[in-house]
Amino acid sequence: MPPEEATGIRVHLDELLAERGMTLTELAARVGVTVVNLSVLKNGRARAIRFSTLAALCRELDCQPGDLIGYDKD
Amino acid sequence: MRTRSGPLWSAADSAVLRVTLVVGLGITALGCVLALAWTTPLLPADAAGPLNTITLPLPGGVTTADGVAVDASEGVTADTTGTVELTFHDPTVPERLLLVLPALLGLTAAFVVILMLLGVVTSLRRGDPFVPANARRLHTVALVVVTASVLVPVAGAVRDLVLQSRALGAAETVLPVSVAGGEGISLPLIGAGCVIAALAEVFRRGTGLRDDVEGLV
Repeated sequence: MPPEEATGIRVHLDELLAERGMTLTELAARVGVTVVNLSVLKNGRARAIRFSTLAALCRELDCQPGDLIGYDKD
Repeated sequence: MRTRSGPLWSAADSAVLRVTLVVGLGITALGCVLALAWTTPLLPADAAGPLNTITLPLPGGVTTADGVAVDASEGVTADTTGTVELTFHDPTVPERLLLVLPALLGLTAAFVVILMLLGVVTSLRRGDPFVPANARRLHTVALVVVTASVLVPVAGAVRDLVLQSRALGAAETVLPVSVAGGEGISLPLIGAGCVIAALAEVFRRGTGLRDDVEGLV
C-alpha cells in the first residue's frame, strides 16, 4: 500500500506546480533537493519530509504548508 | 549540516577489496579440494608437503638423540629440548582424514568468512550496506571465527593424540598434547569474534535506522 494511502496525507505538489507554471526540475534546483526525491514526494511515495525541505518548498512556491499538504480522513 | 570524518571509501577501494576476497576465496577453495583429494589413496602421502607430518613437543627434560649443543653467551639460556616430527609415509584413509582435519576445518572457516565479507563488500559497492542480510552475514562471521578458533586447535590435539599412539604404540614416553599456547586456542581470535558480533549488532540497528529514513524527502 503506497504511503499516502496508509496515512491519508495528500501532497498537492502537482497542482501548485501547474498554478505557478513551474517544472519539477526547476523546483528541485531551487529547493536543493534531487529530482528523484521531489518526484517521490509528488507521486505520494514519500514517508516523511524534513522541515527544511518543507520550508524551502513553501518559499519557492509562495505558499503555506497547508496548501502543500492535506489530510484525507477517508 | 552533515559532517564527515575520517577517510572516505571509494569505488576503487571496493574493487581492490573485491579482487582480494575473490582471490582468497579461490585459494581457500583450492586448498579444501586438495586436502580432500589427499585423503584418497590416489595421491601419494608425500605429495602435499607437511600434511603427512605432525610435530609434537618433547616432554620437559628430554632431548633428542641428535640434540644440538649450543654455547649460549652469558645471561642467555639455550633450551636444547625441542620437538619430534612424526611423518606418516603410508597413512591409511582414516589416518589421512585425521591428518588433514585441522587444516580442512581452518580452510572451510576461512572460505565461509571470505564469502560473507564478499557479500558485505558487494552491498557496499551498490551503496546500500545497511540491510538485514549484512547483519546476518556478520553474525555468521563472528560465529565461524569463535567456533574455528576453538575447534581447529582441538582437532589438532585430537589428531596428535590419536596418531602418536598409532605411530609410537606402547611407548614409555607419552608426548604431551595441548590446546593452549602456540598454535592452540587463541584468545585474541575469540576476542576478535566477539568484536565482529558487536559490529553485526551495529549493522542490525543501522538497518532499523535505514528503514526509518527510507522515503524521507
